[in-house]
Amino acid sequence: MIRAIALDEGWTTTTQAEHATFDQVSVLGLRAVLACTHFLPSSGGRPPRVAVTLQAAEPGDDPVLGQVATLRSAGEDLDPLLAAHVTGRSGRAFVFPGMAALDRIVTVETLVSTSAVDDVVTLGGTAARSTDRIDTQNFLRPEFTAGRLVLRTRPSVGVDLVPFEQPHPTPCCASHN
Amino acid sequence: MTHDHSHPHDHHHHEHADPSGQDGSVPSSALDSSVPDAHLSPGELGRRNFLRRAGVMGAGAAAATVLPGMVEPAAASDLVSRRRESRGGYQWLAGDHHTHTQYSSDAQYRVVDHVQHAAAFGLDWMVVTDHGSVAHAKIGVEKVNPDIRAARSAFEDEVLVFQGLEWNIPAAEHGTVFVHPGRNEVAVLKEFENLFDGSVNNTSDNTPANELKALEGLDFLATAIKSERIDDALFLANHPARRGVDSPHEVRNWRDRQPRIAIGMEGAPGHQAAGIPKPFGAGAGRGFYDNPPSANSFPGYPPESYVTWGGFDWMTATVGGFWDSLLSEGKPWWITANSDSHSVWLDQVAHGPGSDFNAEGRYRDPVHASTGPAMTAGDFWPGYYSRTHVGAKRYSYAAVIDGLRAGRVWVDHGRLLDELDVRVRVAGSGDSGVTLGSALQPSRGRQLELVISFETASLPNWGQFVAALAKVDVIRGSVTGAAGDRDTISAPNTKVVKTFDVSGRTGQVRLTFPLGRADQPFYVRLRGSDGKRTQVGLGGAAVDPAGPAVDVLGNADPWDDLWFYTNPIWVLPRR
Repeated sequence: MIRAIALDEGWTTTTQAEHATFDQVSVLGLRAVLACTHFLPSSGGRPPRVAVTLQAAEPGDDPVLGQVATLRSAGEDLDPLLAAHVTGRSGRAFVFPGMAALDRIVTVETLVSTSAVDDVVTLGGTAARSTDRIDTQNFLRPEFTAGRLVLRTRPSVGVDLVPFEQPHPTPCCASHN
Repeated sequence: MTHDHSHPHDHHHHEHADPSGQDGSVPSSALDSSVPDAHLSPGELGRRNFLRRAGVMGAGAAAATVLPGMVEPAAASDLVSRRRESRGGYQWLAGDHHTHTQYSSDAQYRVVDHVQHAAAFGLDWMVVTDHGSVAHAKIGVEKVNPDIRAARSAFEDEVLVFQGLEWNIPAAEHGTVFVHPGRNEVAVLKEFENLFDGSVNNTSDNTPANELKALEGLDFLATAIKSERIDDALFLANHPARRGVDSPHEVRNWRDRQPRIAIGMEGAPGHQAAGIPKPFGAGAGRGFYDNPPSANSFPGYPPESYVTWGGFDWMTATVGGFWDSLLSEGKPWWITANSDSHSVWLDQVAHGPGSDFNAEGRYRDPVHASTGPAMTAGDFWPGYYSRTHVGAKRYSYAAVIDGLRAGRVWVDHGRLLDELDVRVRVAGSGDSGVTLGSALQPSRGRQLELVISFETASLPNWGQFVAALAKVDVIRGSVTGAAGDRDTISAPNTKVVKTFDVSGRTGQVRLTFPLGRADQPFYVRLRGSDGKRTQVGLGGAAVDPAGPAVDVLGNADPWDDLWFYTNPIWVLPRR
């Protein structure tokens, strides 16, 4: 049985939201099958924050995405988010089927055929070539757009492409030395 | 000994040159003081400069064609004198409004380290912009001032040194705030930082209340000018698209709230060495542009806005993009290019021993580091790569502020051009028309033309080669009035209307482009490049067939991709 869950606990960054989600799923004895972050704007005196929607299975289940048996959310605000998640209308996925095996350099064709990612695009909105090599750096964060899970990439040194979202972006006001 | 006179000698360093001229004779043009330096070939200029040093020609020779009262200080070097010659009524003073010193928690250099490099690398003005922070507001903003004043007097004729702040704009990115020197410069900056800095006051989140705080900060500066606590102040948004947190309506709100103070943004960010490949460089995104959107980002910005294009920020690099949307409204909003220098690529320094930034508000003076060159540093010294050229009426603090505010500004990377003069005028009128940042108001129906005069690079840049301009693009857009939606990020009527192929051209070049009869209001701006990296712009080939290419993560050699951009000139026909 798959449960769809929405969480809004005031996380300020995606990294924080992702780590906290893994902790919570683990406490609940569940396994995340598909998990996404969503940016919530400032509202009602609350600052902008990161919410999470996920579909989680119980141990031993062989889940099929989209066949959601139980919906859980923390409040009315999150119901639309949950609905968007289940129908693939929004969300930046940090867990998705097939992700675990994509830890190194793969072709676009392999990435699309072995995972839930539907499309790979480059900056500017063009599709990548199926033979292009992507260094995933074991960090893929595709986004749902109009029902399709899309990985956005940019040209990089050594391979053809890397994910647009990098695992270790330069922190604001970092010491660059 | 034979010399190719078209070869750009580094005459600056040829102190031993033969005073009689390299070929045994002195060309008459070099001696003729009515010929301005700008009209001499590099070889002739080298000889004239030698003669000046030898006392054969007075420093005033160069001033024979300039207006009275605009003669540069006698103590300045020949190259500085030449740079400071008045052209069309303006001295084009190169500068940098974004540098960090040992009073920033992520930086290290003394003020004078930056100032003497700025002087050596050809800048006329610079701004010290340490990060706003609790330690800076409490200690650094005061402690840095004696260092700045010492540098002002030591480099009086060479570099104007402003004190500023890198403001954590409430609800947004960083910005340069700087003031005209004066007895209250520290007091005003300190009060401003304590009241309005986003880090000091925990107002960085993107909320309506914090957006208002930013506007109140600009009001504070306006009041400080009005009450004569300070003579003047400016604000410019730094690396505006880097994290998507300067939303379009915030930029419009800043400008509209205090249009004399909020004047523009970095067209190109600093950290231009950050994309040099590993292992000899940081191997990051050029400009350290490698962040994804966050909860504070404006959701309407596309992923393309988070990376640089030919070293320039997406807001500026996109023809028909956000900058053009402001210009189409007729909003003066200018671009600059700066170093953001914290740690210079391949430099070998470390923080002074025993440093405690939070306790002392600074790192102790840097020391030589025996650990080898800083290969992951991503910055250049001020003037080394990025320059903001300001048309100033004289060499003074007030004139630089005035020129920036007027938008008489063009920017380049890697010394792509020596000089640039852009005019829009009534065709064939022979008058000088109007220049960058201005608006021509012709009678309806008059034929108009754009006149572009430039001088190609005559000296090597600091990458030790002479940059070669390959093309000049004329970009034109309609002026359509105030945007209904203040989050507008596109200008559908703006496109490249002409590309001049100037490859192989050297020395003085003059290009003329007809702009048709004055009818509807419009603006033009220029852009040019070494032609090494281009791609179809984000608006398609009909808008920008050969715009800047997206910078490759971890492989962006800044010297192999040079661009210049100008601010716009408007044409507003009289009704």
